[in-house]
Amino acid sequence: MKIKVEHLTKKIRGTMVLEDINLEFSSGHIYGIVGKNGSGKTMLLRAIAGLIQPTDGKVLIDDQELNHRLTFPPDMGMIIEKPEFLNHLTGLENLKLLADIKHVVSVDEIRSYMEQFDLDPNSKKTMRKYSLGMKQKIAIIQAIMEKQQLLILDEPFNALDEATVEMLYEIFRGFRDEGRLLILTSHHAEDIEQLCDNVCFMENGKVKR
Amino acid sequence: MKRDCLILGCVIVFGILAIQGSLLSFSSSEAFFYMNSVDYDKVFLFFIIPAHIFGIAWIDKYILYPLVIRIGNRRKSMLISCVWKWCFTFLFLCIWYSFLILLPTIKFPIRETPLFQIVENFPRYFMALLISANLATIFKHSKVPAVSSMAHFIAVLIPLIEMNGIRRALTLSGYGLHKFGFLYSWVYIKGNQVYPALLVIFALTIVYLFRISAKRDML
Repeated sequence: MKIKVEHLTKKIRGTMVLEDINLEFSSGHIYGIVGKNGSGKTMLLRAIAGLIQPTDGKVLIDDQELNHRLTFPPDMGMIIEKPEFLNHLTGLENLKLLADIKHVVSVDEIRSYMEQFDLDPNSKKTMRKYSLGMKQKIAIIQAIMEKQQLLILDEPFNALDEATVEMLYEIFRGFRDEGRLLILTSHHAEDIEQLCDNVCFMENGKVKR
Repeated sequence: MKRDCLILGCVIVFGILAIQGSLLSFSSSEAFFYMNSVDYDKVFLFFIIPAHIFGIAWIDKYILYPLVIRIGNRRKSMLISCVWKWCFTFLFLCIWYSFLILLPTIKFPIRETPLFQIVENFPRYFMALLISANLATIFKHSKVPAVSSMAHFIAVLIPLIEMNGIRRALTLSGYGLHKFGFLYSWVYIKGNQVYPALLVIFALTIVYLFRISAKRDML
């Protein structure tokens, strides 16, 4: 998979949130986007994921323009900002609900992912009672459980303990070696520098380097 | 959590209003009065619409971005959510109507029960609630954050303003609106022109929904 971002600009209610972004991403790599809060990292991920329409410029996924021929990149797993789930369901029920759309992952596989992330799949606890870290783990599982080829992960290490972060590093490196494409953001440069092959820095909606 | 509490609070208030309304209707001494209280616009405005919109809000809670990207197409995900809402509307009205029909048959002799009159209004209410569901979805997808976050509340408020405000004011000032309605007032107009009017409004809301769904930013 190859993603090209060409002269991407986005204005929201008169405010420039992304300005003339030009980037390229290809499979078999982990890309990191670093920047302070409000620098435009999340908005850039939203544009790549097809969640927002560019004001100007375009995003090409394998030479197909997003928002024209494609609505969303195919085979994409993502986390954007805070995890969104149905609070009255358990973690397993939430994941099953999502898995039921494509039917590419079995309940047993979901259970084993949950166990890998130290979550009890048999727990009757609803998402409302989950801690932020537990919600983040469920968000990561939904992003990777269908073995998606493109992973767009906004602050994936938020609220996670050190052991889980280390485990995620290994998982993400494994994905890269399998030829998948990962794009992550963080405002902690050290997370990104340890893990990513390519890093770009954002400030005020622009790519600095 | 705060939003859930707000919805729960609204449901309790509307629930009390609904019980009170049902008891008042049931206390009617004659079938004719029963029918009048059932067909009363306040029942529609203060019970049917809010309870229905609560259901629509519940369905909207399911439309999260991980679900939409898995469906893979904005219009398709919009269509799926609309079909859920229309099916819910039909079920909701069927349940409401089964109570409307059962209650008078307990109290009044079956030949006095205005069954035909009750059933006759079903298509009007159904169309009005479909429009209401579509309007709530349109507000939910608004680019204005305040409108989007208060979408369901606005959807309850619009029929209230129309029926109790605009229509009443126009009628009082001498503009007899017996054959013409706006959005919801068509429900209470007699005549066959009601159905095409409600169908046109419904079709317009669908066209608008599908237009905005393709270009909507999911922020």
